[in-house]
Amino acid sequence: MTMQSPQRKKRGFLTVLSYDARIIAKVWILVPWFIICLAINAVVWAFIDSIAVYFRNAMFNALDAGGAFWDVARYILALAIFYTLVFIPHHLYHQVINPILDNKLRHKIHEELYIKAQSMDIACYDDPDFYNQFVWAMNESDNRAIAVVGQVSAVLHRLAATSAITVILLNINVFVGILMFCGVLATMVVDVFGNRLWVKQSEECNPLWRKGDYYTRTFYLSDYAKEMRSGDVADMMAEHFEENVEILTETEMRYGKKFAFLYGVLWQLFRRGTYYGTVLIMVYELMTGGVQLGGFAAAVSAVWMLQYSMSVLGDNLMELPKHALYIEKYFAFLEHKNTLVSGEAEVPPFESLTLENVSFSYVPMSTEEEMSLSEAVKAFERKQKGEKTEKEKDTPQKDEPVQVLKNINMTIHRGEKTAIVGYNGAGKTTLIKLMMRLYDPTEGRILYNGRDIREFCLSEYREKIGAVFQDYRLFCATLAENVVGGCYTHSEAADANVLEALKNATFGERLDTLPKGLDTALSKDLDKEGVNLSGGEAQKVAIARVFVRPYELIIMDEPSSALDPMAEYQLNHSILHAADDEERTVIFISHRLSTTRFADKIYLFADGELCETGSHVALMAQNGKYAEMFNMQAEKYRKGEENQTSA
Amino acid sequence: MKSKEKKNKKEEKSKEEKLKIRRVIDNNLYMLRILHTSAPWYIPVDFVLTLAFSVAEFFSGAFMLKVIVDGLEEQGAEAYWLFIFVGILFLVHWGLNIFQNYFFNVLSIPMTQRINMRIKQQMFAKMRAVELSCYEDPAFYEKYVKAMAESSNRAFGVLYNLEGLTNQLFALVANAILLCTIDPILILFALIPFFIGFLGKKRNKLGFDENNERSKIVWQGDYIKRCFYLTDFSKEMRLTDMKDKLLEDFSQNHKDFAKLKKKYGFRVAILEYVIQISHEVLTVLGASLYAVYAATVKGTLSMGDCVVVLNSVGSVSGYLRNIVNTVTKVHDHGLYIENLRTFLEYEPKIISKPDAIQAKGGVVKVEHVSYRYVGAESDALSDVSMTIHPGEKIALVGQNGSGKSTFVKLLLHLYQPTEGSISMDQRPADDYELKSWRACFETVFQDYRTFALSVGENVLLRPMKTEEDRARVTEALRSSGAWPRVEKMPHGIDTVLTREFDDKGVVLSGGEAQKVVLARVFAGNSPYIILDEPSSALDPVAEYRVFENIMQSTQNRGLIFISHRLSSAVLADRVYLFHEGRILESGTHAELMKQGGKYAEMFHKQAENYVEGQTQEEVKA
Repeated sequence: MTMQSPQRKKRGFLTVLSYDARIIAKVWILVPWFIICLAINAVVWAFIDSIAVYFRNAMFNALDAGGAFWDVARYILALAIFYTLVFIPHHLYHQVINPILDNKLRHKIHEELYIKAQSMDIACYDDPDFYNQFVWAMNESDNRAIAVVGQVSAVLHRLAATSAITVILLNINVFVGILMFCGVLATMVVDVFGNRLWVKQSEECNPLWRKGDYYTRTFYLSDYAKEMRSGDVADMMAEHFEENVEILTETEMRYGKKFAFLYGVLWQLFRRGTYYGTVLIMVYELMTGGVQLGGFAAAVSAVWMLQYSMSVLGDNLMELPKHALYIEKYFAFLEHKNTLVSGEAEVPPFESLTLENVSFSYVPMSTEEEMSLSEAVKAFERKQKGEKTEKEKDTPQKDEPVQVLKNINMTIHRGEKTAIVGYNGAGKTTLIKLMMRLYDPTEGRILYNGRDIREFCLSEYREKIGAVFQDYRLFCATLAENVVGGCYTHSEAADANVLEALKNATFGERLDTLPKGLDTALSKDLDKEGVNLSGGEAQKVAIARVFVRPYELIIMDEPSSALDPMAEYQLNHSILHAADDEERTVIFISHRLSTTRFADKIYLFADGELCETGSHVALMAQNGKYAEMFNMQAEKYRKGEENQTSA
Repeated sequence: MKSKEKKNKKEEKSKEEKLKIRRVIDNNLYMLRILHTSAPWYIPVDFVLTLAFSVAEFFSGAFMLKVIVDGLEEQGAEAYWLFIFVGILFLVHWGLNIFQNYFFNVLSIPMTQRINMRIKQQMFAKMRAVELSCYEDPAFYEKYVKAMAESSNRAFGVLYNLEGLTNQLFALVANAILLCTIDPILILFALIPFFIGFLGKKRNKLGFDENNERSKIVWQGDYIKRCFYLTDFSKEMRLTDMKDKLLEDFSQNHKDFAKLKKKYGFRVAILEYVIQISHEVLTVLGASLYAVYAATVKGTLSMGDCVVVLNSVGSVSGYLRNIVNTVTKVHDHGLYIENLRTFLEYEPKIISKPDAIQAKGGVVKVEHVSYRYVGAESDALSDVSMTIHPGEKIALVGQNGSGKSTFVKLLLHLYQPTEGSISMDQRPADDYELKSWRACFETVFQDYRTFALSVGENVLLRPMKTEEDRARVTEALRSSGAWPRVEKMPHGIDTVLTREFDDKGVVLSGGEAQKVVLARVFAGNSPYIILDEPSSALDPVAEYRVFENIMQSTQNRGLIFISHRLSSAVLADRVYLFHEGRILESGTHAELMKQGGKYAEMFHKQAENYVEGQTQEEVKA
C-alpha cells in the first residue's frame, strides 16, 4: 500500500544530533535559567555519586585496617550530613523551581509560535502538508525541546558521574578502571548502531502504527459512530486492522532479531562483562594482597552505580535522535517567510474598491515524491512565488492549478449595497478573501480608493472592513468580548454600543434570557454559568461584530446559512435597515437569490468568471444566467403557491 | 459555603475513586485472564524469566559478595573456585539476557500483537454494539468509550506491574533473609520506610489536589492553543483583536501555574525531603553505623558480614519503597479496569434477538414515539406517529432543533424510543435482525464522514470486489454529480480518500465530499433512502439536479428527506412539519398550504422574495 520512494532522504546520525544542538541553543535564548539549573543539577549529582564512592572506599579501608569505631563512623556521619544538606536544594529544585521554569519555557515557546501563527499567510492553512507540520509544531515542540534538554543533561550527568567514578577506580586499581572505561565505550558504540536500527524500523513501522491508530479511532470517535452502524464499514475496518497487525508482526519480528543480537548478545556481554570482570580482577587482587577489602567493596559498589549510569546513558542516547524529525518541523515553521507583506501607507476613509483584471488560483501541494519537511516548506514557498522546482520543469504537471477567479473587473462605491451571487465553487468566497487581503491575487491588482491595497498597512487595512464569514467562530470568552473581538471594558457608551449591535443582529430576545447579560461566557467549559449557543444564535453574535464598529465596508458571506427561514427573513431586514441608516457599504454573498434581490447591484459569478452585472430588475430583463437561476429556484416555490391557489 | 460544597464533592469523588482491595485484585486478575486466553505462553514465560532474573540478581549481588568475602577469609589465596563461581554466574546471567532479549524482541511479538488484536477486537465489537446515545452522553463517552482506546497498553501495564512486584518481593525476601542470618536487628532499619508511610500518603493527596486545581489552567492553555492553530479560527484571529486578548490570557495562564506551584510545591518538597532523608540517612546510614558498631566495638559481626551489610542494606530499603509504588499502580490499574469491565459488560439496549428475522422493507409504522436524550430535561421528540409506505416520498421540515434528525436516528434504530414503538409490516423493530433493519434505510447524514478507504469503498461501504461493483460505483458517482472530480483523481475510484495515513491521499472539499457520500444512495438498492439535509453544502442548481436524479432513480424506493428549504418539500407525497419535538402539521404540500397554518406561513416567507422577483420581471416584460 505505502509506496516507498527509493531515494528517501537519509538522515545521518550527526545531522540528527545537530538538530538537538539547535533546539538547546533555542532554549538557551528563551529561558537560560532552565539550562543553567539543569546543568548545575547534573554536576551536583555527578559530585554526589562520586563522593559516595569515595567515602565508601575510605570507610572500608578504615574498617579493613582494623580502625576504631570512630575511625569508620566518621565517614558515615559525614555522608549523613552531606546528604541532609544536599537534598534540601535538590527537592526544592524538583518540586518548585524546575516546574516553574519548565512552564515558563513552554509559555515562551508557545508565545513565539502563536505570534508567528497569527501572522502566517492564511494560504498556509489550505495546504495540508504545511498545516500538518504547523499543527505538530504547536502541539509538540515544547515537549520535544524539554525532552532534548532533559536528556542531554541526563547524558552529561551520567558521563560526569561515570568519569568521576572511573577516576576513583583508577586509583583503587588500574585494570578495573580500564575495564570499565572500555565497557562504557563498547556499550555506547552498540547504542549508536541500535539507534540507527531504530530509526530505520520506525520509518518502516510508522505508517503501520498510523493505520492501526486510525482504524481504532473510527470505532471510538463519535464522529464515525453513525456510519459505522450502517453498511459493512465496521467489518471492513476490523478486517483492515487485522491485516495491519499481521504486517506489523512480521516487520517487528524482522527488526526484533537484529535488536536481540545487538542488545541481547553484544550490549549485555559488555555490561555483564564489565561487572563480573571487575569482580574477578578484584578477587584476584584480594588474593594476592594487591588491594584491601575496602577497595574491593568500593569497586563492587562503584560498578553497581556504573551499570545504572550505563543503562540510563543508553536509554537517553536512544531517545535523542528520535526528536530530529520533529525539531526540523519546528524550525521550518518558525523560519517560514510570509508572502503577504504589509505596506506602510495609512488607510484613508473608504471611497471605492476596484478589482483590475484579478485572477487567482490556489496553489496545490501535490507532493509526488516524499519530501523532507523543510524541502516541502521550501517547495511551498517557491510555488507561492510562482517559481518551479527543477522536477516540475521537466515533467508536465498533471494537475494544472485550477483558476478559481479569472480576470475579474469590478468597482464598488461608497454606500452601495452589492450582492455577489453564484453557484458553489464559483469563486465568491475567494473573492472576499482577496478583498480582505487574506490572499494576494495571482494576477491583476485590487485598488482601494485607486491605490493598490498592497501599499497599505495590512492590519490597518483589515481593520477598515467588517466581515462575517460563512464559517465564523465564537470564542470561549464573554458575549461582549466576542462581539467587540478582543478585550472589553465596561462603560456606559461601550455597553450601549454592544447592545445596539446585538439588537441589530436580532439577538436581543435571547440576550434578555442570559443570566449575566453581556458578561455571560459563551461556553460552559470556561464558566459553569456560561451558555452554549445554538448554531443560529451563534451566527447572530458573529453578525453583531460588524455592527459594533462604524465599519465603512461590511462584507457578509452567506450570513444566514444556519438560520431557519423565519429567522433569516428577520435578519435580512434588520441588516439592511441598520446598514441603510449609516450609509454603509455592504457586500453580500449568497447562493439564495431571494436574499440578494434588494441589492443595488448584483454580480453573478460562474466558474470563476464574472458573468452578469446589474440590478435585479435589469438582470431579470436581460433574461440571461441570472434569470435562469432565479427562475429555477423560484419555480418550486411558485408551483407551491399555485398549488395552494388551485386547491 | 462554597468550600463545603467543594469538600462534599471531593469526598464523593474519593469514594468513587476507592475500590475494595478485593475488587482491585480481581480486576487485575481479570486483565491477566484476557492476556492468558489470547496468548497462553506469554505470561508463564514472562513470569519464569522474571523469577530467573530475580534469582540471578540476588546471586550476583549481596550473596556473591558474602561468598567471596567468606571464602577469602576462610581459605585465603587457596580459594580458586571463586573464579569458577563468578565465571558461571557471568555465563548464566548473560545467557538469561540473551534469551530475554530474544524472547521480547522476536518470540513474543506474535503473542503481544495477538493480545493487542484480541483486546481491540473485543473493544470494537462492543463499540459497535452499544447504542449511539453512549457516544452522545459526554460523561459516559469520556469514561467508557474513549478511554478504551488504550486498553491494550493497560493490559501490558498490569502484567509488567505484576512482574515488577514479583521481582521486588523476591529480592526483598532474599536480601532480608540474608541480613537476618547476619544480624536480625538490621531488619528494624529496613522497616523505617514503613513507619513513615503516612507521609507518602499525605504527599499523594497533595499531588491529587494539585492536579484537580491544575486541570482548569491546563484546559485554558489548551484552548488558547487551539484558537491559534485551528483553521476554524484562522480568519477571526487575523481580523479581530482577539489574538491580543488571548495572548494576555496566556501570560496570565503561566502566572496562575507558577502561583499554583508555589502553593503546593514547597509542601511537597518538604515531604519528599523527609521521605528521602529517612531512607538515605536513617535507614541506610543508620544500619551502616550499627553494623560498624557491631563489628568494631561489640565484635559480634565479622568483617566480611559487615561489608555485605554496608553494601546491601540500601537495596533492601530501596525495594521496600518500590513495592509501595507498585502497589499504588495496582490500584490505579484496578480503577481503569473497573471502567473497562463496566464497558465490556454493558448491556447494549438495542440488540438483535436470537430468533430475529431479516428485514426486507415494508410498511413502516411509527406509533406515539417519544425520545429524551440522556440528562436532558425535556423530550427531544414527543408522541410522534407516522406511517411510511414503500415507494413514498416523505419530507420532514421544521426549524433547527425541532427533532427531525432525532426522528431519523430513531427510525434507524440507533436509539431505543423512550416511549412508543416502531414496526415494519406489523412486526416490532426489535423482532428484526438489527443489521438488516438498518440496511433497509440507506442514509446520508448531515454530518457525514468519509473514510480513509478508496472512493469505491466509500460509496459501497463494503469491499469493492467485482467488475459489477466497479460499474455500480461509477454509475452512482455519475448520478450524484461526483464523477467529474473522481475521474480526475490519480487512481479513479481506487484513490484513497483523506490523508489519515497516506500522505498522497485525496482530500475533498465539503461539496465534493457530500456528492461522494450521496453516491452511497445511488449505489444501493435498499427499500428506503434517508437524506438528512443532503444539500446543505450544495448550491441550488446542484441541489436541484441531485433531487431530480434521486427522484428518477428511486421511483420504487421510499425516500425520507429532511430539509429546511421548503421548496424541496413541494415534490414530496407527504410533508411533516416538526415543531419543538412534535409533528405540528402533516399532509401534502397543497393540503398544508390550504390549511394556512405554520407551514404555509413559513413557505410564504421563503417564497415571497422569489415570487415578488418574478412578478417584477413579468411586470417589466
